[in-house]
Amino acid sequence: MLLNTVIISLNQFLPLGVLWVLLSLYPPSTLENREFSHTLGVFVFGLISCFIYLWLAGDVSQWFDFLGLELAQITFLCGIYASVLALIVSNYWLYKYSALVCAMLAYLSHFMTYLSSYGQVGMAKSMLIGTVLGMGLCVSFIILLYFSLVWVRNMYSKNWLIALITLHCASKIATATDLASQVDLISASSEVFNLKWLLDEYSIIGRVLKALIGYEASPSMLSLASFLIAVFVMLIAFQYRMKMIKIRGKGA
Amino acid sequence: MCNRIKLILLGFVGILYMSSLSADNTISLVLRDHLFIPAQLEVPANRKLRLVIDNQDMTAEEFDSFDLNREKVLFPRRKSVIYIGPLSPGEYRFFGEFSPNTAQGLIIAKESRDAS
Repeated sequence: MLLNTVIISLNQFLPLGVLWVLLSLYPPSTLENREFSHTLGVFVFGLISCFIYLWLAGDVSQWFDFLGLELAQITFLCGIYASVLALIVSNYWLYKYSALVCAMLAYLSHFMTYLSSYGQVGMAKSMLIGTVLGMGLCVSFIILLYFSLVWVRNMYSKNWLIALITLHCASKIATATDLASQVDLISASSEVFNLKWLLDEYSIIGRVLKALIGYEASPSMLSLASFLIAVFVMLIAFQYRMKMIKIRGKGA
Repeated sequence: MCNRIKLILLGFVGILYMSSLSADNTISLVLRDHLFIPAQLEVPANRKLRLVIDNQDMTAEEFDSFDLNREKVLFPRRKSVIYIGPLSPGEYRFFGEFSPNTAQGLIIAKESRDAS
C-alpha cells in the first residue's frame, strides 16, 4: 500500500507540478507578491472544486450511458489546452489560473478518490507516509525543473520553454483523444509505432517524459495526429504573440 | 406521411439492430473483494468489445491496462463501461491500480468464433 501510494501520488502530482512550473515561467514573473496570493487563491479554489467533483463523480460516471467520467476528463484536459492557448494569445493572467484549476480537477480529484476510498479502511497511516514521500519526490523534481528551465532560458533561449509548454499542452489533447476512444466517441485506430523495447512509458524515465511531454511508447494514429495538430496550433499562437510584441515594440 | 412512417420504422429497426450488435459484443466483469471475476476472459479477436465492469466493493478501484492502453476509475457499487479492440490475437493484462497485488486479470483475444 505504501509503495502503491507513492506511485499513485507521483503520477497525479507530477503533471500538475510540471504545468505549474511551466506557467510560472511564462510570462517570466513569478516571485511578485500579487502572483503568490493569486496562486494561493487558485489552489484553495481548485481544492474546493475537487471536493465538489469528488462528491459528484460517482453519479457523473453513470451519465450519458456511463460516458460521464470520460466526458468530464476530456473537458478538463481540453480546458488546460484552451486556457494555455488563450494565455498565449491574450496574455491575460486569468487563463493561467483556469489552466491550473482544470489540471487540479483532472489529476488531483483522481488522487482524492483513492485517498477517500482507502483512507477509511484502516490504511490511513501507510497512505499518509506514501503521500508525503510521493509529494516530496514531486516537489524535488519540480524545483529541479524550475531552476533548470531558468538556467536554460538565461543561458540559451526561451524557445526551449516555449517548446516544452507546447509539447506538454499538446499531450493533454492526445490523452483526451485516447479517452474519447476508450468510450467509443471516436473509433479506435491502430498503433503507429511501438517503442516499448527502447523506452517503456511506465519506466522511471518514461514516467518523467510522460509527465513532461506526454511520451507514449505506442501511440495510436488518432492520438498522434491530434498531438501534432495541437502542437501546430500552439506554435501558431506563439508566432502570433511574437508578432504582436514586435508590432507593439515598433509602435512605441 | 407514408414516407415519414417508413423512415421512423427504418430508424427503429436500425436502433434495434445496433442495440443487438452491442449486446453481442458486451463482456461483463465483476470486481469483488479486490478481485476481478472472472480473472481470465476469452474474447474474439478483431472485434470492438464493450467491457462492462461492475464494482461490487465498497471502495473505488482503477481499471488499468498498459497492454490495452485503458485507464478508468471504478466507483464503489457502480457500473463502468470501457470499449476495447479490435484486438489482435494475443494476451492483454489488466489490473486494479489501487490494489495491484490482488486485482489482476487477463484478456485473451482468439481468432475462433466461440471465444466468450
